[in-house]
Amino acid sequence: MPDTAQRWRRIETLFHRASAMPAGERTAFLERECGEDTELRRTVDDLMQSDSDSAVLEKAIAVEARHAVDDVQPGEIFGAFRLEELLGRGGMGAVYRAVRIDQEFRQQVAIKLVRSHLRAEDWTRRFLRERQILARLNHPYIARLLDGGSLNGRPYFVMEYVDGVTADTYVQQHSLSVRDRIGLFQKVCQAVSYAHGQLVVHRDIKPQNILVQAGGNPKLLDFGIAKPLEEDEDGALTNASQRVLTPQYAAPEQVLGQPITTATDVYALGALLYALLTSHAPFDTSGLSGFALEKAICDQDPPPPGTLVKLDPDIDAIVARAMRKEPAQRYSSVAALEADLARWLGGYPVEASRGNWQYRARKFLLRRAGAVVAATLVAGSVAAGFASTRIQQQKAERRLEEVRELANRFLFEFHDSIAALPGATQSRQMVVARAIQYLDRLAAETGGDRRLEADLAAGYERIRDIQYGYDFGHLNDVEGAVASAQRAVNLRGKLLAASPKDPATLAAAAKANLGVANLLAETGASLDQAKTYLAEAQRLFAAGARIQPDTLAQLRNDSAVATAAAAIENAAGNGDAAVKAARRAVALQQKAYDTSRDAADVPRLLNSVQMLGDALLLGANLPMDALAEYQRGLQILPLLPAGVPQEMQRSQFVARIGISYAIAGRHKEALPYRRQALELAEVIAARDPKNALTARDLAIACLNAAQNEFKVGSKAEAVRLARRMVVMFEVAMQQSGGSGQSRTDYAAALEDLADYLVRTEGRAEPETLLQKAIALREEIVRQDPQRGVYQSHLAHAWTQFGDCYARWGEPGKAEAMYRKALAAYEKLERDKRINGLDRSDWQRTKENLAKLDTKKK
Amino acid sequence: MKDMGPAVTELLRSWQDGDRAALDQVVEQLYSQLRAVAGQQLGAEREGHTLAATALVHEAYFRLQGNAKVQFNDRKHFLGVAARAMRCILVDYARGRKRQKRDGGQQVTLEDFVAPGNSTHDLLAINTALEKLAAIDPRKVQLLELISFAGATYEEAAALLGISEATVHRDLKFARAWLKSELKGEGG
Repeated sequence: MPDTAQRWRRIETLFHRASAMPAGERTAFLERECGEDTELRRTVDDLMQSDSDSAVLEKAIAVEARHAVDDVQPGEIFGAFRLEELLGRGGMGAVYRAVRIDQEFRQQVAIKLVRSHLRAEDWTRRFLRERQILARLNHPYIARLLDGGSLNGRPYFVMEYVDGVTADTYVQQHSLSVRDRIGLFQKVCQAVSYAHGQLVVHRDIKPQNILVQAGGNPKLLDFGIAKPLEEDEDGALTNASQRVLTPQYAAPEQVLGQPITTATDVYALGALLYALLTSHAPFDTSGLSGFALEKAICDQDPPPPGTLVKLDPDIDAIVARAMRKEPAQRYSSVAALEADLARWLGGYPVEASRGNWQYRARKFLLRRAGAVVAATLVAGSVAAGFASTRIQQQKAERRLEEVRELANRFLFEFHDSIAALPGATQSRQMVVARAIQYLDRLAAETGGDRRLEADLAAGYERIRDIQYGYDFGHLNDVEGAVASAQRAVNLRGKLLAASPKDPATLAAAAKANLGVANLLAETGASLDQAKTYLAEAQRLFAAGARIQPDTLAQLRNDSAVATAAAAIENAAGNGDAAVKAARRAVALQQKAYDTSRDAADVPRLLNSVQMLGDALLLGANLPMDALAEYQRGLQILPLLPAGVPQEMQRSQFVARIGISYAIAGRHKEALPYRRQALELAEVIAARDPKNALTARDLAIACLNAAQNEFKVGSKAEAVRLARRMVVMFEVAMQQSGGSGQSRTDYAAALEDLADYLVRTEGRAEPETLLQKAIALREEIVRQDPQRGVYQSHLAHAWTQFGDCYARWGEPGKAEAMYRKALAAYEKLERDKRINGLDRSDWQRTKENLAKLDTKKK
Repeated sequence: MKDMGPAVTELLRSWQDGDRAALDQVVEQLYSQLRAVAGQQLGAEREGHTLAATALVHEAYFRLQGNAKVQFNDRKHFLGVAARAMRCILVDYARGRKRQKRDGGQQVTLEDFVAPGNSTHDLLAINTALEKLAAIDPRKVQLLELISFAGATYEEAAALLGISEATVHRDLKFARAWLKSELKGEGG
C-alpha cells in the first residue's frame, strides 16, 4: 500500500528532523508538522521517547546465545556417562538424562550442568570436599548423588534419575486433599530430617526440587549442592551468595548472608508447605532485588495460607511457626515440624498454637468427644476412676512430648555445635550434660509408662554412644558412657520384666548389657562386673533365640559376645584367653558374613579382626601374628558398604601395622606405614579441627612417626614430630575439657619428647618435661586409684626417669626412680592388673637397676 | 573490518561450482570474525566463555552448510546469511526453552535470580516485532540483523546494503527506537 509506505517515510523524516534540533524547539516543530493528525504526532512522540542507546535487541540476543552455547548435545560424554536427552533447563543450569557407559547394565542417571560464577576448578574442589558426605545420604526420598566434577570447564554433577513431576505440579494434577498434601510433605520432612542427622543441610528446598514419582513418593534433588556454590573453604559465604538461589523460598538469614543451619531448612519447608497448600509461593519476589528483596523477606509476613485457600487455623499457625524470621523461634527441628503436623492429622492440639489454654482445652474435648459420651452413659460410680485415668493419660502425654521435644532439640543443638560453635567437643559435652539432666528427671517419674521407659532407654543409649562410641564425634568420656549405659540397662530390665517373652525386648536388653560390658573393658576397671554384664547379655540373647530362632542373628550376637569377652580378658592381662575369644569372634562373624554377604556385616567383621590383632599384640605380645590380622583387616576394608568413608578404619589398621613392626623391632618396614598413618590422620583432623578425638589421633600418629624416624636415625625429624605431637595432645586436652584420658595422653607426650631430647640435647629441658609429666600422672592416679592402667603408665615414667638419671651419671637418683617403678609393677601384679607389655617393662626395669648395681661395683 | 580479498569470492565460486570443501575454507576465514561477534554478544560475564562462543559459531556453520539451497554470491551474501542463521538459531532455542518450561519437565531447578533493571525482553517478542518491521521496511531488519546478530560494523553494513554510513546511522537509530516503542506496546 503506497499510503503506508508514504506514511512510514513521513514518520521517519519527522523523527530525524526532530531529533536533530534542540529539545526546546521540538514541540513547536511537531505541532506545526502534524497539525490535526494526532495519531502521527503520538507515533513520533513515542519514537522520540524510545530513542536511547539501550540495546534491547543485543541484550535479548546475549541472553539467548548464552543459553544456546551453554547447551550440550546428546551423545556427549561426561565422565562415565553419555548424554541422552535434555530434561529441563533452569537458570542455574541444564539437566540431561544420561546413561552409564562403563558398565554392562544400563544405569540411567540425570546429569546437571551447573552454570555458576565459580571457575570450574573452584567448583570441582569445593564439590569434591562435599561429595563424600553427600554420597553417604542414602534415603528412599532423596535422589542419590553419584558423581560430579568438571569437563571442558563445565561443572556438572550426576544424580539418580527420577521419573516424576515436580511437587507443586503433582498436587495440582492429582487434586490432592489438604490431608494428602500434608502426607506428601511429611515424607519430604522425613528425608530432610534424615539428612540433618547426617549433618547435611539442603539450603534450597522448593517445589521444583522435589519430584513426585508415579506411586506418590517424593524424591528430593540437589541435596547439599547449594553449599559448594555458596560457601568457600572456610564456610564463609562467597560474593555470589548475595544472589540467593531461590528468593521465594529463601530464609532471612540466607538473604542477609548469615550462617546457614538446619533452621534454614525448617524455614524453607514452611515455605514449601505454604506453596503446596496454596499453589503460591509465600513471597512474590519477581522484580525485587537488593534492599527491597531483603526487606520483603526479613520484615514482611506473607499472607497466611488460610487467606488464600480454605484451611484450619492450626495449619496457618504451623506454617507461621516454621517460617519465623528468627531461626531460634522456628520449630527446633524438622522432626518437630513433622510431629506437629502428625498431631494435627491425629486431631491433637498442635504445638504451634500452644500457649492458649482455652484453645487446648477445646481441642482436647473435641478429640475425646467419643470417650466422654461413652463415659457419661455409664455415669456415677465410674466417674472418679475415669477422671484419674484421664489425668494419668495427660501426664504421660506431656512426658512423651517432652522426651520427643528433647530428642529433637538434642539433634538440633548437637548438629549446631559440630557445625558452627567454637570448641565443638566442649559444646557437645554441654549438650550431653543437659540431655542427661532431662533424662534423669523424666526417669524418676515414669509412672510405669512403658513407652516412655523405652524412649528414655533409647535416649540413654544414644547419649552413651556420643560419650564413647564408634562414631567420629564421640567425646572419649568412657566413665560417663558407663553411667549412661547402666541407666539404659535398668530401664531395659524393667521393660523386660513387663514382657519377658518378647524377642525385641529381650534383644534390646541383651544389647544394653553388652554395651556396659564393652565399656567396662575399655576402662580396664571393674572387670568382674564387666563379666557379669556379659554373662547376662549372653543369657538374654540365648532366651531370645529360643523364642525366635534366627541363625544369622545368633552368629552375629555370639560374635559380639566373644569380642567383648576378648576385650575383657585382654584388659585383665590374660593374653591367651583374649586371643582364644577373639579368634572365635572372628570365625563366627566371618561365617555370618559368608552367609549373608551383607555389607552391613563388614564393619562387625573388621571390629572382631581388629580385636584379635590387639589381643595378639598387647595381650600375647606376638606382633607378627597381630600384623597378619591387621593386614587382613586392610583387605576387608574395600568390602565396606559404598559411601561409608574408609579413612578412619584404614588409619586404625595402618597405624597398628606400623606399631606391630615397631614392637617386632623392624623399624625400616614400619616407616612407610607410620608415614601413611600420619597422612591419614592429618586429613581426618583437618576435616574437623575442633574435634578432640581427631586431634588426639593426629597426635598419636605424630608420636608413632617420631618414634620410627628416631629408630631409623632421622633424629631432627623425630624431635620435630615429637614437638608437634605435644602441641596436638595439648589441643586435644583443651578441646576435651581436660578429661583423665587426655591428661594421661599429655603426660605421655611430655615423656616422649623428653626421651628424644635426652638423646639429642642437653639435660635441662627433658628433666623439666619429665617432672611435669610425673606430677601430672601422680595426680591422675590419686584421683582414680582403681584404674591399673594409670599406675602402669606412672611406673613406666619412673623407669624412664631412672634411665635418664643413669645416663646423666646420677645412679642414686636413678635407683630411687627404678625402685618406685618396681613397687608399682609388684602392686599391679598383686591386683591382677598387669598385662604383657607391663611385664616386659617390669623386666627391663629390673635389668636396668641391675646394670646400675654392676656399674656401682 | 579487514579486507578478506578476492580469495573468499573465488572460494565461494568454487563452492557454487560443486566444491563443498570450499565452503569450509570460507567459513574458516570468516571464523575469527564470527567468533569475535559471538564473544561480544555473550559479554564478559563469565570466564572461560571462549569455548562456548566457539560452539555457537560452529552451530551457525553447521546450519549454513546443511542448507543446500543457500547460495553464496560473495562474502557480503555470506554475512547476510550468517546473520539470518544466527537469528533463526537463537529464536529456535528461545522456542525450545519456552516449550520446556511449559512441559514442567524434570529438574528445572536452581532458578536464576534476575535483578530488576536487568530484565530482558524475550527474544521471541523481539522476533515478532522484527517480522512486523520486515513487512514495512525490510532493509532496516536486514540492517539490525547484520549489526546485532552477525556483529557487522557500520562501514561493512553500509557496503553490504549499498547505502551510505550516514544512512546506516540514521536507519539504526530509527529502527531501534521503533523496536523499543513496539515492545513497550506489546509487553506492557
